[in-house]
Amino acid sequence: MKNTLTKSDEPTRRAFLAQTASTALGVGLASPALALEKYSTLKSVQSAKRVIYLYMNGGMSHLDTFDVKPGSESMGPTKAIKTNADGVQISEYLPKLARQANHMAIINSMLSASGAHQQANYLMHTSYAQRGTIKHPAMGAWLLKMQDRLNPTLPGNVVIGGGSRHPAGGFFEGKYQPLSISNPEAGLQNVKSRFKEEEFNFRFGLSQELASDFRSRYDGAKDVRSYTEMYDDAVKLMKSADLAAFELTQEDAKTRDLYGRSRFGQGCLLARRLVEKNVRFVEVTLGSWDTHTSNFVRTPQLCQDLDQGLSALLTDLEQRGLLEDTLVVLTTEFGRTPKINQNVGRDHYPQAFSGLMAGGGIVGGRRYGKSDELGANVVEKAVSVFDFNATIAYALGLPLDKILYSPTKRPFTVAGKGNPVVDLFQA
Amino acid sequence: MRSSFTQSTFLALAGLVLFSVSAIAGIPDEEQERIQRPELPKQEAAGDPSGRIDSILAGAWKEAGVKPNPMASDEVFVRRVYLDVVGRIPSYEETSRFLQSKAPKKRAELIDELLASEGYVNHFYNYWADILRINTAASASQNVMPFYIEWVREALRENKPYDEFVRELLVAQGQAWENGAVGYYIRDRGMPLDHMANTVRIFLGTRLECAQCHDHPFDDWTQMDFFNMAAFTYGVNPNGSNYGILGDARKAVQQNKEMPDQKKKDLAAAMTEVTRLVRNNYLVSHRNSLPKLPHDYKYDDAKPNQVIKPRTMFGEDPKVEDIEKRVEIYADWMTSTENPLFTTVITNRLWKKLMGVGIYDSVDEFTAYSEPSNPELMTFLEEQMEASGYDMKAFLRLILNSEVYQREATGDDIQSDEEYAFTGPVLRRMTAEQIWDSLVTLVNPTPEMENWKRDQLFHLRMAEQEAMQDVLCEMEEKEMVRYAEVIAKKQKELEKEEETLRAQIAEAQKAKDTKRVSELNREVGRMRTRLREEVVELVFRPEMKEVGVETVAMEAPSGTMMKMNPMMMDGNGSSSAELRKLQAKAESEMIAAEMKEMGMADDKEKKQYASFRKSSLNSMLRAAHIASPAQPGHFLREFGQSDRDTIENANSDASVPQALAMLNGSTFNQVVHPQSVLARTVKEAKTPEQKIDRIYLSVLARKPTKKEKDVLLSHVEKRGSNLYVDATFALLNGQEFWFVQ
Repeated sequence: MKNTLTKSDEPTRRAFLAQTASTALGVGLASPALALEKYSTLKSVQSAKRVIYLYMNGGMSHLDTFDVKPGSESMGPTKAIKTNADGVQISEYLPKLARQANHMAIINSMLSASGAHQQANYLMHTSYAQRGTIKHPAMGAWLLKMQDRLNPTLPGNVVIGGGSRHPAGGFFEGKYQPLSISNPEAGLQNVKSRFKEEEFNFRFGLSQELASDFRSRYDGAKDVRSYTEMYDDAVKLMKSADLAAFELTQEDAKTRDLYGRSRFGQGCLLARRLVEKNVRFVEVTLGSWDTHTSNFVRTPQLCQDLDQGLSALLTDLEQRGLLEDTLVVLTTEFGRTPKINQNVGRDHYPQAFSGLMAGGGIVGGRRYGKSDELGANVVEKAVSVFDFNATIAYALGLPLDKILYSPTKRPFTVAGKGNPVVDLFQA
Repeated sequence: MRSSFTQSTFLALAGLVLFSVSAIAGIPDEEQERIQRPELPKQEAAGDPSGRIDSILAGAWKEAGVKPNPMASDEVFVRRVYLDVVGRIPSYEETSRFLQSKAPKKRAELIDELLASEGYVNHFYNYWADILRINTAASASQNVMPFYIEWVREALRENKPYDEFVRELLVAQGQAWENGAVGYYIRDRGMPLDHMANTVRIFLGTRLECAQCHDHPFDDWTQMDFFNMAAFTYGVNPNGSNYGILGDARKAVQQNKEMPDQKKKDLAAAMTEVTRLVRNNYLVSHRNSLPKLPHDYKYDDAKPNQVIKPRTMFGEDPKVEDIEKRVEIYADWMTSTENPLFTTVITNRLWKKLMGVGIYDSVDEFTAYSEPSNPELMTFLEEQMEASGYDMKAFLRLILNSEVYQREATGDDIQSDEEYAFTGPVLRRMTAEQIWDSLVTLVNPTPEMENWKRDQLFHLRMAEQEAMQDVLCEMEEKEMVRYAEVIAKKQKELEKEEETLRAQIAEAQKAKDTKRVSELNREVGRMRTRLREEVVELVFRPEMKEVGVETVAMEAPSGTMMKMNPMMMDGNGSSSAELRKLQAKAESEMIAAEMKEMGMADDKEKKQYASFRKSSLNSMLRAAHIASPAQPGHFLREFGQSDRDTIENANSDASVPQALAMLNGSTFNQVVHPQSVLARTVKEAKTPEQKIDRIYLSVLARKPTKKEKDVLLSHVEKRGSNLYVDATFALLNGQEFWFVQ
């Protein structure tokens, strides 16, 4: 509460006080419309319609990827290379991305409040600390909740290879939960009937015919009606031409090779196919970056998949004219220690780490913010987890100050107390 | 009001718990001291308390100008009562037996039978697992949660009075194998403040979580109330261990002036490896610590960072003078009949569980303004709850036997819960577990069977854990140091090996040999397991052999006892070939017995049955017997099973993946497999009419209407025996299956 008061600008504070007063007097909450009008003091312009969110699971070493410190002892054997953007260097493990740097705004001044995987992962995804009493929604769910789908047939929010700890849609309703795909090559589950088309049609028709008595008896029940709609939607999806978006086999071998045949590479390809069909939010996970041991063997291996997948994705999106209004985000839960440990590894490090954004209105070809010469502390333009998420929301035109209430009646906003890094959208 | 007699018995129990917590779980049932429940003065309705519910409601109907729903048919009743009490549809046999029975009290008799069955345990376990957030997925709790689950299940099985159930959770101490109830605290490890918010929500139906950070904006609760409450359990430490050898041995090494520093480091690391194997056996114990207010506490009644003492949020303050007794005092206060919310919450919960709508609209969001929709009914039910001594089965029986429960379901959406006059139960979508368990009923001839192979392995593993922990408790510093030297040497060897592997990986990468890279990576990935295996072999097994490991007798489903010992596992805690062989033998015996019972003679059919049964034994089990909760992506999760992250997080929202799973998923294949219960039931019937009857009775617990039967029969010529698959598919995907009427 205190933070809201001190950090918000004047009109917001007034709105907050007004609301507090009205609830204290038992008048009830300010109406949503009123709240929106008064709270949207930040001028959000939608520059991105879709997001591809690449999550580096386990904590990506910033020094060995996007925050190189040539000549510093903290680099170990990792070398820096030039990129196609003036004065921007990245790690030698990312040679293909070096040729795409003109698209990327690399953020070197990220900060997190947690150095434990699960908590930091949760914080990055939701902008809220993990608690045992509530589950907060991730960005994809906020987007659908506030702006709905663009393609009415396909799911609007997809997580590829996200694992079981993803906060998903949090306390939002079921329809905002992401569709989870564990293996991009296997695509969407259960969309193909096990029967021949004619047989399926007969059986489905029979089920509708036999259900008619029950339906008419309970036509006053919302739940019964929603199951009717749900079956209609399911069959529509099964017959939809857009479903092919989930099938990687429709791509030629050359394209598939371009992305790399790793799970991450193929996940990026699937993400491109989905945003092409206007799926709004696709997350692809690459991990594990938890290099406590043998950092300089394992990080280059991971970078190989990242370099190939992300560079292919940026090229492909650009060629298809999608990069303009598709925001590509790369982030992780925290960085790794500048000090190299006795197992030639790096440990967890939330005090300074890196992420990047490209497309969707971002002006690329630069590094934003700065850590010191060891990569140990942020020294310029700190970007908190909240600010990072606020920037994504800003690009999407989501009202940052709009409060939505959980079923437990507690107030939440899309990026917590974050402020967007608006500089990233200006040359 | 509870008589003073009960209160003193309670204090006696408190003492028992205080002085021998670990003993309670271990005492055989017959010796356990049972709480004597007082005989309460008989209510006016004591002879027929279920009837009293109906007469109270009759007044409400008159007042609201509504008519009650007609009485439900036997068909509707049998399906509903199975789903409500045992959590699955009745099998064809069970439905037929009930419908054909001419017994005058057959409904009451069925209610008694179901409440006494293992199905009740399975169903109400699911219900409580969602409330208690029981989660077996986190690897850190793998040694605890199965014991906790067994404890909850046993409490349901023996019908432990609710107040005792809650009390035992709140005062639980010890290790999970002595007292599974410690799982309640271990579940909230590392979040003592959230723990109190959860407890108050579950058992007092009150939301304190916002008072964790500031005074409640709408209700009476202050941040101070919250910290006063949290102070009761703040000293409960769910992270303890009962061996001190690690600290002692480390100290001994540290103080050794002749030892080089590097060696000290190596030995310390090796000792960690030794104790790592038993690190998940948490010991719950009580310490004296108290919480501090947050650094930004902003109210006038105290200063930031001030230490806060326990004090109850309402009612007469029990005054904690001896800090060591605070947990007992808190548990007494919580479960006392003097605590009005305690009774109200469970009464409303169970009513809502059966009727679909609570008398208070929410089960866990009581505020100063909450009012029951029918105060007379609420008061009566609360009295019954207290008078029964919080006997949950008796309370469920009371409602199940009422006329209102046995009326047709209200299908139209209710405008507001507060105004519903309870003209009958409300139409509900089945829970995810009810849907899954119903499908299991159509496939598995013994739907209540346990996941016995998994459970055996768990108990074997825990027998080893206990033995290993005993070894550590007995170990002296010198021994520990000696073992650490052996392990440190092993670690060095393994590290060298890993270095070689890493170098080979780098080479293979240069050569772009991706196959070799992934092979080598797998080898590297096995290094940790190998170290564990070495520790077991070098440290624990010799010690365990010396003292002699006890053989554990375990029951297999065929009824035979299997003798096992932890040496039957490999060094990584998985089944050894020997164990797998033993289990396979027991399984074959069980299947052979089933086939004999069914009089199956044809060799080909026997082979098909045995193979189907084996393949479905690990998967087509009730939700309560597979991972709790099921893996993400599992059928149960698609249908809204709780992730157990937050309280009662299950949902019954319709979603497209649900329809897709039912239309196109692999579960349907199991249902129509020629050896499934359903297929065998249909096969036994002779005529198409009879077969269709059996499909309807199996899936919907009723016969088809004439219209339905005519529709199906019109296709019989064209579809032949395919028609039965058609009909099954149609019924499972028609709405009626999804709902509890």
